[in-house]
Amino acid sequence: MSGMFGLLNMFALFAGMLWLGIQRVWGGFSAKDYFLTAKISVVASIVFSLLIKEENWAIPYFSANVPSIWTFVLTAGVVYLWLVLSLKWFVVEDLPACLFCFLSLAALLCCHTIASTVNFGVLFGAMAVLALINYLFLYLSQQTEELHNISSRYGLSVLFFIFLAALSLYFLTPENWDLQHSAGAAAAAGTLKTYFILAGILFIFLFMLAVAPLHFWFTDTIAPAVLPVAFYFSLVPQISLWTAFIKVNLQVLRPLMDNLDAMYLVLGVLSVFVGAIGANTSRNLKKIFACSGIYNLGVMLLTTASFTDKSVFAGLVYMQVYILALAGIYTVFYGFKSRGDYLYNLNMIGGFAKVRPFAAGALLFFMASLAGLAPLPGFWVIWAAMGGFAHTARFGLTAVVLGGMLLLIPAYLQVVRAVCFSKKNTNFDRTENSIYAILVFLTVLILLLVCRPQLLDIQMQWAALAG
Amino acid sequence: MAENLLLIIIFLPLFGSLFVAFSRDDDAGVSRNAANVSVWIVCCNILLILRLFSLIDVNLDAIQVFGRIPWPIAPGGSLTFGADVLALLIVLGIHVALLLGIFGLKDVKESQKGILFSSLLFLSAAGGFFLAADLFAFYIFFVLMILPLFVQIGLSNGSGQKTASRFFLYNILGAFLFLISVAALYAAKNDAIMIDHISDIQMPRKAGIFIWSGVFLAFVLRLPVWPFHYWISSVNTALKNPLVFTSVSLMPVSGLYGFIRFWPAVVPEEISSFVPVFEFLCVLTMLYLAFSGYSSTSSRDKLFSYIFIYYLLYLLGVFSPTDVLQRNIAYSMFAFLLVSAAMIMIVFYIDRESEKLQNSPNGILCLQPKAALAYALLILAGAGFPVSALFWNNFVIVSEILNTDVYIGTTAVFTMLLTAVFQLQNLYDLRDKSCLLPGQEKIRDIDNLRFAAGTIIVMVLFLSFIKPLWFVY
Repeated sequence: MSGMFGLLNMFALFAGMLWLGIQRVWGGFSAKDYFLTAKISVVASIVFSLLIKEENWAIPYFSANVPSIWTFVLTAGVVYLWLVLSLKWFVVEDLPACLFCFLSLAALLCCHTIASTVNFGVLFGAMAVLALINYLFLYLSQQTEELHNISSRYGLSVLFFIFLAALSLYFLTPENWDLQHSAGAAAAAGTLKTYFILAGILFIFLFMLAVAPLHFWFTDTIAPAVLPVAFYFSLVPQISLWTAFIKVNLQVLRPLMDNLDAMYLVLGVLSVFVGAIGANTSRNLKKIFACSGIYNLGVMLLTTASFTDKSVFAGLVYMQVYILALAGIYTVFYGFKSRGDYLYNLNMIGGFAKVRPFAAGALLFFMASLAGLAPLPGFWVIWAAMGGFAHTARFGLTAVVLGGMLLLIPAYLQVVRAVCFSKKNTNFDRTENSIYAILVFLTVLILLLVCRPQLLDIQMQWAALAG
Repeated sequence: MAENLLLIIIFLPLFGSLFVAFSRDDDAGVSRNAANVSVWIVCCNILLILRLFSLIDVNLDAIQVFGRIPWPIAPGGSLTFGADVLALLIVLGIHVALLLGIFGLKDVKESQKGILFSSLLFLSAAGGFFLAADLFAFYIFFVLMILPLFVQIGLSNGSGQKTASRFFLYNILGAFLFLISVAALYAAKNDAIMIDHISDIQMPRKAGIFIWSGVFLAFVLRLPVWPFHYWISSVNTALKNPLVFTSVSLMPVSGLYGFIRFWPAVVPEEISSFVPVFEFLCVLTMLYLAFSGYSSTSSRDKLFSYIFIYYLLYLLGVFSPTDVLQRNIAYSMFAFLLVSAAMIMIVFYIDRESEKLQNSPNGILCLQPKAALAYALLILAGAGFPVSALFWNNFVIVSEILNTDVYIGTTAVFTMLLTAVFQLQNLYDLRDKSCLLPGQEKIRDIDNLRFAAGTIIVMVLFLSFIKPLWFVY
């Protein structure tokens, strides 16, 4: 019964999608109505999740625990902010809001499925649907030839990795798709098949998470995409994919961890430097933060690579803290607007602080957290990561993480200089109240977390980290 | 009582900065409200610091008052704060210096509010840093000082934004090196570490070299020692805002203080072989600064050279193999902070007024009798004449340096003499009536507020010459 109760959040999303469909068929509804339906649906799903947040439940194909429920709450919270911020664009541009809202709820549903399923068939099915939703979002955003080509490339790449994953499932046979049984079945399949199965499982994760060198689609799609779509790609799927990646590693790949550990370290180091260097080569805000995302993913991979309890918790906390800071940064981006158009280039946002000092201050604050400046949450996670490196006697990784950050910081400084210190060269539109409200909310939330880290409901994790 | 007072001193400017952020500008964009709030906050904190002096035993050298803030991230579960005479004198000096900087801001119209907001944040961070009693709190506030100062430099220096980035990169590099060392120290001790017991931690020699080198570089990156000096010289030459110049000039105090706390008596054995090289670099930098100050015609450049030569003198004192100098450095540095901040306030005013003259600023002080009086008294005190605590204490510091190494001591004395000479020469030039050219009718003397502030500072310095802690009751 508890399990069915646990699925209420999914039912809320499903009901929202259904109601959106009815609204579309019925006709006569505005973009605001569609967004209202989507927001109510998301809020309902968050409420249902919080009601059961202390319970672990399991039904066929699904199980949930505190991290997976927190993953959903965080993802749904980000989706809610995203819907609030994106409404204006749809109203002004007169775009198909119903499809956007429908896809948003569907993406959230997929994310929750990915984070809470214990069956590879359901997991890869949800990932395939999520990839399709990603493609449709790009389609929604298509305004240029460049983006059209990028979305085609993305579609082909993701099809390839889904095909690999499907082959893995085929070799694994359906009766072994359950996560708990799949490890034994994969090991018994014979060396070559075992490696093939593992490659299929891992590559789709690494591709969708955008770990270097499979990161090319991430920066390519985010840079030209419109802001609401870039926000989605940067923030929404990552949390659930990361949680699922950790779960698969812990439940399925643990026996192979000695081999995978080295691979994760290499990919982590590569991501750190690719992200840090890539961020410095662009003047496009979205691309800079997409590269920063690759850097942060690299750090998460390095932090988690040993897959001890401490390192896993550190990785989960890192993702949560990163998402909070990035959500704040993207919220400020919604304020970079002139004559109804979002501004993405550093040359166009000069002097923003002169007209919107509080939004600029908030941007500086979130970026300071992202740069790991004490005592902000970004610092705790680097501190925890360093503790993990010391625990596993990998002291060199500390130098990699901090060295990568030193490389990344000039890119952040470019943004700060343009926003805070440059002369004003654009007439910015009035910043909506909803942006200020979200900035205040996120700033207060991060300040509360600085004062009371326990609020993240991770005291158990901190106890383990402090261990 | 004392515990709460300590925390109020640290966090009052932080709350004050919120009031500054929400204060209204007038029609001309001038933030009188912000300036008034800042002055009140700093004055209140100065009174609280004076009160705290009376609550501690000033004859004791150990950190005495402990205030704790529970924080689960910190090893040991809390951030610990404490105070001794050294820390409180520096904190008091910094507060007075920033107050004078705010007075100097009166004629600057650009980005006043943002700079005042950041200054109060900087003051809060500096307070936390100097009053930190455990290593983790020390690190947190060491890093926290960077961001507000970066914002101040960037806001005050719109055209030369790269200097702000340079400042940030140098300091963040130091912060990361320090972070690695702090993490390694915690790995060695596995418990909360009080900063006055850091030198007691036992560790293998290799780890010691690694840790102490990180600590050394972290602190030295905040000091104007060649070849780590680049950010200081590039930032200071570009600044035209007296408050920001004062704040930037206070940054090296954190490096000095770090050295005093980390190795109060002797440099750790693991890196002691590098000390002579480092002292040589210090002396070389002092000589370079002294000659460049002597050859420069700008009052600001001379002031810059003066300030950083004295920091290097204190650094040499800190590196002397004794801990008896700690009090002398504290008394001398307190007087030095006051002198240098008051001089910055007046020199920046003179500089701004001199832009109205068609030629050099020579002779300008003949038209500014109040500025001339205050500036002359400050130069006499700053040059080491027996009118302030600088006189006695610098005498002791130099004696100890001479006692340790006669060549280094002699060079230090020579640079101090040269500093005094170029400061007096500057005073003479600025008062040379024969150089005065047309345009003099536009020159204004300093206002009563700044004159009163300068005079009070001179009186405080004179009282500290008689009894360094005369304000403790």
